[in-house]
Amino acid sequence: MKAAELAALLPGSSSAELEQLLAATRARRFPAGTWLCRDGAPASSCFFIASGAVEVIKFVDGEECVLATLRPGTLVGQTGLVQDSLRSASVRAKSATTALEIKRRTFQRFVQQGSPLAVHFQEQIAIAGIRQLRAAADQLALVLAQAVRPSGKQPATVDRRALAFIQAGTGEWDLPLDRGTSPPPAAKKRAS
Amino acid sequence: MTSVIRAVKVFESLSDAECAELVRFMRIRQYQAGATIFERGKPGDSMLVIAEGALSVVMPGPRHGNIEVARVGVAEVVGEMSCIVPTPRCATMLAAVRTTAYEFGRKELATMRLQAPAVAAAVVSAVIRSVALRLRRVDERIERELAGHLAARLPEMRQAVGFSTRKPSRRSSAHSAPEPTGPDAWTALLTRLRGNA
Repeated sequence: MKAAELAALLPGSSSAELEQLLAATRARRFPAGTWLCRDGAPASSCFFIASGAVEVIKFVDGEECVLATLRPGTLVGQTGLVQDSLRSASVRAKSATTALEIKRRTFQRFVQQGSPLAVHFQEQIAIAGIRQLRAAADQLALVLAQAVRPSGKQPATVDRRALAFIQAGTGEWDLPLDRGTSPPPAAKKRAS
Repeated sequence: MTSVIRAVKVFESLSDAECAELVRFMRIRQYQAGATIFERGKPGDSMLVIAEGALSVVMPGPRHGNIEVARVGVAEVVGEMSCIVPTPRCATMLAAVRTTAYEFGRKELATMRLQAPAVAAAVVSAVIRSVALRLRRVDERIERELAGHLAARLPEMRQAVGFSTRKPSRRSSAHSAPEPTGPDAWTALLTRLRGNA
């Protein structure tokens, strides 16, 4: 992998910074259908998708749910850069994929040096984390909403205000609002 | 000022020197009791750390008026995610009493990145870590609620479909919500949710 190939994915980065990123990380190739990481495995790195595409997958009751499809220029498995944790989902190459694996130690060194690339990655991590927290808080509100309805039936209409109110009750009242108020897209399900 | 920042949970990973540096970039804000500080849906790109007083967080009630859903006290922070990712404010906040707060916004963060890049990175890392912790807490509560909810409904479900019941998917995509009938029902719901936190 060359710095010039990365330049389009990380606009605003100097060629010296891109060279530095390439020198500090490992470019890994994943044929279509192979796993970048598996749910439950220890996480101490993340992947920057340089080419191809990956799917973020969670198995629920043996059913495969594709939570997201990620394209070049995005990070996946970011929590591994922030703290010791286990992978919360699996990631699989949808097509032949090249990904840069960034280890936590490397990332921390970049952050301490004030590298503009680290700032860019930090923002991406923050955006992804906030989005996940909002989705989880929505999910919790839905579970609670079902629990307080005696019949357990779901109404056909969406009531964002009631959802916000339930979230306030769980202490998650301070999540930034989405720019739009539409609910998150449905997870695509496939039989495994 | 530094002692207030030092006591903020979100910033517990910062060193004393980093807290002192953060203070250097903050602005002092004073609000009279009852003053509107943020309005739900209005753009926001800054955080506030409460130094003295308290904020009242309100949301529109079921029919008319507002209901207080939370209080934010000394050494607590609001809007910390907005200073990294500007977004509309999630709730209306009023000064419950005369309040002093320290403000830190996206502009200050940009200046800090130029003048003290390592501290700026540490501040952003602290916010990211706090988001990750909250995510884990919410995920755990989903598991807990699902387990409790299912246990409570098990007899009914057994009767309806025999023993071949399936756990509802955690990643359910349908949006549903209860339909409380009046302010009392909403307040009761809020109390119940807090009790389970």
